[in-house]
Amino acid sequence: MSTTPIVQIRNLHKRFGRVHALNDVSLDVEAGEVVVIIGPSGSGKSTLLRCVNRLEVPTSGTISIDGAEIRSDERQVNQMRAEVGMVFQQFNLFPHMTATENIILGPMTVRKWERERAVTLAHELLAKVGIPEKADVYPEQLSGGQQQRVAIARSLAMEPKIMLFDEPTSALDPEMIKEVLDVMLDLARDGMTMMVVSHEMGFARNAARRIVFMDQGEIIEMTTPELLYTAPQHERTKRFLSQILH
Amino acid sequence: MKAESHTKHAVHHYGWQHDDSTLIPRERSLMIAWWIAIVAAVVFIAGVVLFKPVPYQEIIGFIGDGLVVTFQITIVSMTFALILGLIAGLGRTATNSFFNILTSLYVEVIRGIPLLAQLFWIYYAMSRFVRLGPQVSAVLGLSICYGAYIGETFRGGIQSIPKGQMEAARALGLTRGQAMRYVIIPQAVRVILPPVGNEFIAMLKDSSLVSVLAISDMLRRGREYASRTFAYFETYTLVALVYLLVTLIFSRVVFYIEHGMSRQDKDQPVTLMHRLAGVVVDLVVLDFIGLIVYGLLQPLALLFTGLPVNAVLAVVMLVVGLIYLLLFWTRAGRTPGMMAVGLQLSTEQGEHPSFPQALERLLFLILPLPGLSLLWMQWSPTGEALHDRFAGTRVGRD
Repeated sequence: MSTTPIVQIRNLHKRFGRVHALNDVSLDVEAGEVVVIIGPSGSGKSTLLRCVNRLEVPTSGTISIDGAEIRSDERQVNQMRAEVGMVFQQFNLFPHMTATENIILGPMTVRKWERERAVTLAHELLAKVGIPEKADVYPEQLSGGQQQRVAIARSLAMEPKIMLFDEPTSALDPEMIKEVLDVMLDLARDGMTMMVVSHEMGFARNAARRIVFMDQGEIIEMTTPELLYTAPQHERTKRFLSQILH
Repeated sequence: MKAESHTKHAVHHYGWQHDDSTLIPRERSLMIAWWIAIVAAVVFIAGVVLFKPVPYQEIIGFIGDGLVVTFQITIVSMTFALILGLIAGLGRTATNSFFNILTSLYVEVIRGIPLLAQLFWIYYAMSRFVRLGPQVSAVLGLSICYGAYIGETFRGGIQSIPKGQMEAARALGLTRGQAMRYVIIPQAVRVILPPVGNEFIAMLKDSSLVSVLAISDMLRRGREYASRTFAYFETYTLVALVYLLVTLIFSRVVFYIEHGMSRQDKDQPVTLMHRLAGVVVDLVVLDFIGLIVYGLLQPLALLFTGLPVNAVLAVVMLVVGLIYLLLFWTRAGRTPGMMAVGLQLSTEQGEHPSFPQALERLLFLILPLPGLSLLWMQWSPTGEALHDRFAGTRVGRD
């Protein structure tokens, strides 16, 4: 435990006008750790994730990735983003590109890879997420679960140190949730550092070392999934869990 | 075969609308209206020219070179309008507030002034400071005016792309410029192309306004003929019908572009109309490119005054056409015109075309080229020159 955490969030505040989306959040994530973040809608969990790769600019506070504090410097931010993969609720695949083209865009434009090398990697990654046969298919011809798996492969193509998942299964039909969670579980087993906003209890129990409960922009409780689900400490956590665990 | 493709199309697009009892008028009735209009126009024009050659044949000959001028003014102005529009569109979606305000101001001001007033202002009012020729004034007025409208089209297209696309691209580490280039603009083009096509048609019609600047476009030529022969009815009827004919053809092309862009499955039967529409798009694009090449070569061409200009132009257009074809054929497997109408001539996606397919494509592109270069040869530096040339020849009953 002597190593410095790979993500270090200190006293983070984010305001949208009068809304205080993040209120003094501090959180460390160790390399290889999986942290699941839960909380009611509007609790700031997505904002926290988006601040980590600076899709939102924090109002105050600091975030350090791999020891380097991230400031508003374009080049540094782009460099950092190349190391931090992100998977969105709405997949956000590029509809005018095939699965392979979606995956190779990052390595080719940001890392300046040769096309052949990128395509080889893309095919490996598509095999890894279980859809090698969909290499030349456009997103609109894929199911939601398949699209999300391509999106994960697209992020992995940058060989990131950290992966952020922003409600990756919320827009999926129930029967497709498992195929995406399985890919995420595989990643966790391979030792990927992951920050996951998700209410999938099974995933949290199987993969997460820690679970964070957020409400109204604050971290209310942070413990192991087992303890949080069976013995929540705070009133707000209890209330929230009783609502999602029917 | 044709009916089959239609049914398939309708089902594909609307899913649940299998019968006639829908609230939305069916595509086929729009199609029928188009056919009625174009057949009527062609039959009428051909009929009067054949059976009543005096004065119709003469009128056609007279307004014919006005049509060439109309095309030239439109193509030149459209080129500049597209450039201005791109700047305005990017400016209004930019984060830089200075650039944003500047381009927004341009759009707001220009859109608030009628085109005719702008043309008068540029030609007459501005002459207090600089004297611009009628051609320059016309092109300037049309470009600036349409640049503002096209800028709004571009802005709408760029903003219609969901925010998540930019975020996903930036999250991969792409810069804003790279994200625009690889992710946003390729998608926006699909949204933008049909309305830009409509702007092109609108400009073709609005270019008749430049006749007030003593430019011998089609309307002006008609007026010149009519005022000499007093054949007002015959002349203006033909002028109107020729405008209608040209507009109908282009509107059909835009229709195919719209369809090609939204068409999801690419293995639909390719009709002759699709191909023709693709060829027209290619010709217009080639015209844009030819214009730039011609402009660049003009100073050089003056050095070789011994060569016939027509031959030089024909060669230039042919070479440009071939380069264009080879470039897109080898790199994308199809030309921009084919992309625009969603044509996939190669049988399998990503596969290069077979030899007969390539030959077919070549013919479709090359055949109209000599005609195109002829259009270019007609270009004369001033409307007056053209006017004089014809004034000396036979002019009706005067």
